[in-house]
Amino acid sequence: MEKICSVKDVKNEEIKLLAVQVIMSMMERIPKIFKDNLDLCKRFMEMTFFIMIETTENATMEWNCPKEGNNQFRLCLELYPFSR
Amino acid sequence: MSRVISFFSIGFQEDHFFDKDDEGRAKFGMNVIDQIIAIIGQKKILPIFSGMVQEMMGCSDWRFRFVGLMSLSQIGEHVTDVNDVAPIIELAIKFLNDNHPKIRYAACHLIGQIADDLQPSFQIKFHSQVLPALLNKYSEEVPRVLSHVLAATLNFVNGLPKDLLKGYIETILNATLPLVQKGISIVRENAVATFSAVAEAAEELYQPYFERSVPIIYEIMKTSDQPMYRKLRGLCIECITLMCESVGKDYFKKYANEIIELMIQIQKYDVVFDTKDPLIAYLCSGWQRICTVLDDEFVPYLQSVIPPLFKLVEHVLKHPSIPLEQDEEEISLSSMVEEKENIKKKKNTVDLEEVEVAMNMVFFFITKLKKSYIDFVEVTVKVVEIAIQFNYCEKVRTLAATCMPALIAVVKESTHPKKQELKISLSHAFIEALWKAVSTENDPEHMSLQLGFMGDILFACENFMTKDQVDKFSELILKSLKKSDLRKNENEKYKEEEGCDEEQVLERALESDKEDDLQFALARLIGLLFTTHKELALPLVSIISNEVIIKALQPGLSDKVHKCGLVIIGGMVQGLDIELIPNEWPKFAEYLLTYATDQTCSVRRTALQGIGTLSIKNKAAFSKLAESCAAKVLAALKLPKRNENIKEYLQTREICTLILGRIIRYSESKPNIEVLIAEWLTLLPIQVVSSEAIQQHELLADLILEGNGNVVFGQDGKRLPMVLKIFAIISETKFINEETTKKMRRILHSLKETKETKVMLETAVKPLEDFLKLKLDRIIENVLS
Repeated sequence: MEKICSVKDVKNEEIKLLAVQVIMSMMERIPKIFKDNLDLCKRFMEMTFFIMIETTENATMEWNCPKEGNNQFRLCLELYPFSR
Repeated sequence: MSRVISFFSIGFQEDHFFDKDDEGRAKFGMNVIDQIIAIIGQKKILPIFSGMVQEMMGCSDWRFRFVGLMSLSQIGEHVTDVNDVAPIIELAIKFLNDNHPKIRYAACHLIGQIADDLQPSFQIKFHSQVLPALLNKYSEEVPRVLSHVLAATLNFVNGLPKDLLKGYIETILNATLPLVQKGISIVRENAVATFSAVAEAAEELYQPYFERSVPIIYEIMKTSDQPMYRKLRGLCIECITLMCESVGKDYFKKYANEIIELMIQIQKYDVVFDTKDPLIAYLCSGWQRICTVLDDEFVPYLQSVIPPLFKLVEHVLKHPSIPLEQDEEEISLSSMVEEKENIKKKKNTVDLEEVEVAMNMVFFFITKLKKSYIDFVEVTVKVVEIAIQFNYCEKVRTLAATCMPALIAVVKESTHPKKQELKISLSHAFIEALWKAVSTENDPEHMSLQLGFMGDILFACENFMTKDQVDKFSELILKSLKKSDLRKNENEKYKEEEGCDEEQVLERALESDKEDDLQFALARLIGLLFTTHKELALPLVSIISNEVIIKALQPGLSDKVHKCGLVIIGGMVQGLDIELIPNEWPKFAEYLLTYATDQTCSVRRTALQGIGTLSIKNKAAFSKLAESCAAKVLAALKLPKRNENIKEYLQTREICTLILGRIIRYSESKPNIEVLIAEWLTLLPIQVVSSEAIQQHELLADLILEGNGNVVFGQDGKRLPMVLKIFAIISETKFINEETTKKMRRILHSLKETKETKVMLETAVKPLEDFLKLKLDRIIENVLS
């Protein structure tokens, strides 16, 4: 899984996310494996951060200043962005 | 209706894990981090997490700092001591001024999320650092970041106690006002939302700012009629109605007509039916607020507001196109792939929360306006009948069911010329719709709720079914009971199967518990059928007795099952003459007495309620049981409080008190009268079961006035102080009526008549507290005057 996530030229990025999802699913089902091995947890977090960093894009003009009327859904996210 | 709900109602869907943009990816990662902390435990994982974030924050590449800040925003939920976030907040404030807009954005996100997770302790501790830092950023040049600064402010204000907010209202409003009026919509919308947050949190403290801000928001609401500003317009509706709610009717009145007229116009002409329109939910919540503020003065507007509004509700119910029913909170990361598809679909459809808001509003109007709502019953029935079949969401179906007994109550209270016929036809229609809904429901929990509302309809409409209809109704109940039994048996069998792990066993046990609740709801219905339809339900007695009661009241079964049997007996006692069930009654009476001393409070309470009902409905039958009852009641009073809540425990004790009073008053044999009166007087006055209090206190006065003074007061008037204390406590309260007050005066007056009793009275008054003495004086003065 770590290898999948560290490959830079995987065309379909969702494969990386699926790899994270598979591990997450294992953690949900058999937490003991991870609770007993904190190094494994650390590596998993590193993997997640890696994907987050890799996919973070620079602020574009469109990001800075979204078009009027082109933000119907996005706005819902923005208006109350912090509630869980 | 809280503002938060209306935000949700517009479709706040943050968990779109697989969004193609980087923000979607960041959210995906943040959710993963959140899950890791939750599963592994904060103690083990937070030190590792903090070390990694610290490393990232020191990197020169801005993306590392961005991810570090965004990840930190997840920890608020896992922190118990607000002091632990001090270094994080320091970091966030520092990065509010970073050169990179995405870092500033992430810093706002961090503050906003922690403000939401740790409110109000975070606000109390950090307001003097955080709010000035956020207000300083109102000059931010990047609109996206500015919009997030405003969002963080509104989250902070949401949890800020009113006394602390007081000092910031002026500053926040002055800084926000220019942003409401200019700039791009993403900024203006959050500026309006910040206004709303301040108005809502400030309550009456908002009054000095009301006149200044209403015209501005009104103007935006009036002029933002282009499609891309629907959201902004909706937020203005929310803002202006929240302001009105905060400042109250007197302030609002001046603008009420204009605001209402504009909302009517928007509702009539500007809501778009063929797409998801956020205005619908904002209107629904807005009207509720206006109705709350104006109360009866809103009635003249109803004719213009409700019919078009309900067309919108009908539209929302008929065109939801929502493929999922899952609660956001319950979405597991393990089902992210399916979620992705569902959420994509959701974006293009009406939101589920919107339907809930609409149905909440319907219920609100019915219960708030009561008899003034009568003209709209017909249009509401149409909506409710669609909503009860709303397949996508059980909450909507439950809300529809809630509306049904409420609508019958409206008809009952009204002066409609054909209200009896209307009430009956509505009850039939609702009962039919509810049975249909129950038959298609899968979850016993929701079935129980719907059956509960069916019971409320029975109770509200009383005797409205014919013999055939009662038979059919009984048949459906018995069928449902059998089905539930089958499911329970399946659960038991499954639990014993090989390979069934602990988690599955627990799951099945929970399912069976829900089935017990369902059976209790069905038992309550049977009880109510006897209560309301009396002799028409008589043929049901022997079947129910053999098939349900005897089985349910076997020892060793669960408390819920025992309550099923007892609640049916209670219903029979309420509705039928005991003489009509001579074969069954002795056994039933035995059950009531046995379970009156059950260790579980809710079980003995149900049994005691049955005995209490008997003491009112059939004094002769009660009198025969009095001796055994007295012993049981005294034993029940000795049982200590266990896990039940204090109110339930006290109510149960008061039911014992009521029964004791009736034994003393009505029992022919008067068993252990001295003991019973002494016990009874220590338990009086009744102050929890207020519906019975008046009658019980009158009973005490009657006993004395009917020549039993010596028995009640005891030898040498030893219990007179207790009686006087009871009189003083209940005097001038809702626990006594005028008639009993007069009787108390007569008693006190007669005590003052002879020298001997006067001395006794004066001695008994002495130990009372001063305020009680004063209350007694007032009664006596009235006597003398």
